This record gives sequence, structure tokens and C-alpha cells, in this order.
Amino acid sequence: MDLTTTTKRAALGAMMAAALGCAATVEGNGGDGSVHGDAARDTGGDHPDIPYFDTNAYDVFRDDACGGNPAPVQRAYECDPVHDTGCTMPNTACYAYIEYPMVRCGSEVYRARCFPVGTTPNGAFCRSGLECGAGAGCFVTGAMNRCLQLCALDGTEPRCPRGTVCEPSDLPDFGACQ
Amino acid sequence: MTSRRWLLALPLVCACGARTGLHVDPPPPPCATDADCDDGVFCNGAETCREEHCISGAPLVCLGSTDCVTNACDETARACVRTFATPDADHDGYRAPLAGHRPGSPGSCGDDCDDHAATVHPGAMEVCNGVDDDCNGIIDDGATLTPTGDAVRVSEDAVAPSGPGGVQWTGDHYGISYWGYAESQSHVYFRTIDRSGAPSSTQQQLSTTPNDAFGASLVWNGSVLGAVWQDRRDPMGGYEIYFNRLTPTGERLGPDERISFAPGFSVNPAIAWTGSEFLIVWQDERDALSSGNYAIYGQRLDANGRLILANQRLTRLAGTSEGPSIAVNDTGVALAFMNERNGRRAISFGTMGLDLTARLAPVQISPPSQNAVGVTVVWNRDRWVAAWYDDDPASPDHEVWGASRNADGTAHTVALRLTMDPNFSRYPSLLPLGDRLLMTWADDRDGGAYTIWGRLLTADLAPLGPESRVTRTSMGMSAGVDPLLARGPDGDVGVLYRDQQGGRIQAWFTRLQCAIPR
Repeated sequence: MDLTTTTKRAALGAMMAAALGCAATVEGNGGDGSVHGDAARDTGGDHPDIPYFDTNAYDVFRDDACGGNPAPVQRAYECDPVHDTGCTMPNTACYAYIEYPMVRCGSEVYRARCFPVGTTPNGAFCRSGLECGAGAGCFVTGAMNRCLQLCALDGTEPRCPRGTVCEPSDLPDFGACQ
Repeated sequence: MTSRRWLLALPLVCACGARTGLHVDPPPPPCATDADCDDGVFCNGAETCREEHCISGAPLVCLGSTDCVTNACDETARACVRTFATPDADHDGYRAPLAGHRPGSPGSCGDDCDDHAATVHPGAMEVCNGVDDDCNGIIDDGATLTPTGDAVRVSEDAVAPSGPGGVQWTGDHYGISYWGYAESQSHVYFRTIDRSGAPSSTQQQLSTTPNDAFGASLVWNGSVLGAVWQDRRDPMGGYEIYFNRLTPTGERLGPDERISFAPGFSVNPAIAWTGSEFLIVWQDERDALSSGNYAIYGQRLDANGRLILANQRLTRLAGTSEGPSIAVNDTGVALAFMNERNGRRAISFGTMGLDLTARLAPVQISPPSQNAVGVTVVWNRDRWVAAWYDDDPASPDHEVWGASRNADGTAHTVALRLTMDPNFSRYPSLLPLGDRLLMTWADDRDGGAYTIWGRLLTADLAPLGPESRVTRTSMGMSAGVDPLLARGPDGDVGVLYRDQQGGRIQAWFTRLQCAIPR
């Protein structure tokens, strides 16, 4: 089960509102890549249906939806969300989140900033990462959106409690104990 | 027969020469020899001529007919010929049973359990091939599945962390999909592994946008792979579900097909093949954005990957329904998923037609005391089988449980604990073997590091052999989790999983070799 953060809706509500207002790409048939990329079949021409039972007649499709040069990701960590260090204001904690691009193929920005500390305990239902306590985040787990303790993916401290695993998520630098 | 021929001649005789006075020649003698009486039909016996009269013969009596064999006179063969009620189409000397009968059962008239394979019949040598070669009702009798050779890292060095998406045997190699980060961007990748368990291609990237692609679940339909994953390429859409068909070597056969169009997240897709259509299910947030609850949605696609009708909402339970698993048999579909309400998580199971129309409304199959998550469901010959694990922090055990359901979805085997050690067990995966199942799971009995374990189960989910280690620990760092299984060639099984060897979380593969004790 893949873990994804819920930060786009609640923890960063103001930021996402801005992003939604600036979206520039409208998908014709749903973002299939061919609309925006250099779509071409090896055989050229239109797209005849693949003869279903003829395994020698694969008509391979190639495209590069982002022109071969996707924008690199950016990191803007103002504090350490795993160890919850770097926040000096009282009753604040460090939270990690993703700032999504406003345009197709744009770069994501992985951020960590200090926010007022949340009170939802780990394992409990959440709608936003800011509800969770220090060192935690709100994740879509496939078994209820829950606050989960962040962890280091390289196995260093802090390690996950016995029985749980440091699960990778859509935050590339941190995992979550589940 | 002979008298009829003579009678027909009489009117002609009477009709002639009436004006010339009555002069009738004496009728010819009915017969002079036996040959005069022969009607040309063998099976009614040989006619004879006695005293100028034909005498019918005695029909040939053929003895020995039964419900399965008819012994009757055949005009062409001019002899008694035995006709069997069932065929021997593969000419292996063993006959198929009557329709609706088990091979070799009383009244079945045949004991060949596969009349289209000459190597399959009673007394044949059982070999590792996933087939009941000797028709004793047991597939690969007593076969063991043993990890063979070193596990191989599937995701290439620069792709980490990464983890399993799907694994399928395509007739020539294992097709493997996985997600992974490269330069901090998450993509979906594909790679092939040969029958010996060695990589046979370089990895190729399936997702073409840099925006958080995770998956992909795979299904092989005998011609192409169906792949489904989630990504958020659409700046407006959050995570949505995408599908494509792949060649056996992982090349895309068309533009990605977007499956979900809805506000909120659409994530955790699963895929199945019905024989004519792809079925995709996923958890979808569209109906309850403010509550954080999901419902399970489904979509049909034809063999060419074209959408059939629209997204269908498949669950309407209170609370949230997430993490779906889907299985298909000849006539229907089983859907299993986690449903949470009032803070308790449970596994629900329901059935549908192949067109996703509801049959059995979802029912809870996990014990009410559990916080049950991580369900997987398969079809195993005559029943559905589901497995999940108890994730309740307060639970006295954190074990894998399972249950089986009849084809109509009604209970067959109530929930059973399937793993027995006192440590944590989770992430079950099932491989249906017909008369048995292989279950693998992650187990932390090795001092807190998860490794993959496996065990054969009977169709009724009873243990069949010991729990066996599938992967090895490595310096206490190993975290082998998320095993996925695929039936390979010669009875082998491919295991795709996630491991943390050397401190890097990546997708790994190992092969379980089938062997039959002699």
C-alpha cells in the first residue's frame, strides 16, 4: 500500500488554494500524455487497434509528456520534521509538506516549516498534517487517513516502534511508521 | 424384408393382359438360394432360403453394454462395435468423465482429468507444472517451494526508495512493475526477470510526467499486460488513476488512459482480467471530500483498453472504505476492502457480476475484535479466499488471518488465524494453486526486522507444511515487506517484495523453485 500525504488539502490549505487558482492545463482526455507530448507510434500514422491475439503485432506507443526535461524538484527545509528541530517559537513543531506545481510538468517543492503543534495522536484519524503532533504527518494509508510518526528511510534514528515499518511516501526524504 | 419385395410385384402381374384372357404364369419361386434372400443388411442376420422361401436371419446380438459403453452392431464394420459415452480426445488411453462428474468418480465413465493433454492421465508422472498430471486430485503432489539462488534487486541502483507494484509471468519471463524515486521524483518502472530469476532487461520508465507516480498493479491476459497506477500529473486533479496496456517487455501500447475524473484523491488501484475485459477498482474520495472518507469505485475496460461505461461506485457503507482487492472467476467478481467506522477497521467482502453489478452486498468477514487491514483476495478453484492482518496496537497478537467464501459469496470457512508465531505478521499475499494456496507474509520474528515467510495452506486454509523463510535477514537492517506472488514456469513462484538491504529501500525478487519428492 502506498502512502501519500494529505497535505495538499488541509495542512497547506492557503497554498493549495492559490495553486488551484493558477492551474493552466486542461486535460483533453484526461492527461494521457499524447495531447501534450511528442506522441508518435513506431509505425507512424493513426492508431489501429492492436490485434488482440497477435502477439507479434504490438504497435508500441512512445511519448515524452514533459519533453525529456522535467523540472528538478526543489527542497526548502526550514527545520527538521523527523527530529522536530529548528522551531524556536513555543508550541510550534516542524511539518513536512509538498508544494505542488501549478502547471503540468512543473517541479514539486518539498518543504518543511514550523507551524503550531497539533494534538491528534499517532494512529488516529486526521484530515491535515497540522492536526498531528510534532514529528508526525497525516497520511493516506489505505486503512484510514492517520497521523503517523515520521522516520528516516535509511534506517537511522528515530526508528519505528516494534511491529511497524518505515514506509516510503510521496515525501522522498522521509518515511512514516505504519 | 424379403416378403415385401415380392408383394410389390404382384399388382403389376395382375394389371397386365386382362383382355387376352386369364393367363397367369406361375410366380417365380421366392428363392432358390440364400443369395436370393439377402437384403444387404448385415446386422439383422443372414437370410436363408428354405423350401423356396426366404427365412429372416437372427439379428446379431452384441453383449456387454453399460452406462459408459454401448456395444452394438455396426453395418459398416459388419461386427459388434463398442461406443464409449465419453471421448479420449488426446489419445492417451484414458477417457474424459461425463459432464458434471469428477474424473474417476462412480458413474463418471472416465478418469482422465484433462482429455486435451496426453501427458495427463492416471498413472502419469507428476511433475512441477501446476497441473495434476496423475489425476489424483493433487496438483504437484507434495511439491516443495524453495528459495533458489540469491535474491536480485529489481530497481536499479539510482532508484531508491522503491517498492513493488506488480509481478506476472508472461510465458517467457516475469514482467515486473515497481515505483521508485530517481532524483527525488517518483516514477513507475518496468523490468523483466527470466525464468532463472535473473534480470533480462534494463528498467524502463513507464510514467512520463514527474509528478508522484506510484504503482503499478499488473495483470496478464495472455496477450498484453494491463497496468494501473496513481499519479498526480494533473495540477487540478490530485492523485488520479491511470491505465495502459503493455507489451510483455513493458512497452506502452497507447497513450495513458485516465480512469478517474473526480475531486479529491483516487488511489490504491487494483486490476483483474475477466477473460474479455479489464476491471479496475480503487478508493475514491469524491463523495465525501470534507469527511476524509472514501468509497470503492470500479471501471470496466475492453481488451483494447477502452472505457466501458463510466466509473461505478461499488460501496455505500458508512465510514470509509479503502484498500480494495479484486478477484475474478468465470462468472463473477469478488471485492474485499477495509471499512472503518467509529474507529474500528474491518474487512468487508462482497460479490458482483462481471459487469460490476452487485450480487452479494459487502459483509464483514474479519472478527469484530480486530483492527483488520491489508486485505488480499483470490479465486481458488471453487471458492474465494481472503487474507488480512490485525493491526490493532492493543491486540494480543498481530497475525495474519483468512477466510474463504463460496462462489456465491456465502461463508465457507470462517475467519482463521493463519500465522502462529508470537511476533508481528503482516502484508499477506496469496497464490491460488487449485487444491492448495501459497501464502507469503512479512514476519518480524528475527529480532524486529521483517523478513518474508511462506507457507502452503489447504484449500480450507489449514496448514500444509511448516512456515518457511523466503528471504534472509541482512545485518539486522532488512525490512522485507509487501510480497507479491506470481506463478512462473515449471511450478515455480516469483516473489516481488520490498527490502532494505544495505540501508536502501528497494524492490527485490526471488524465485521459489518447485520440486517433487521422488
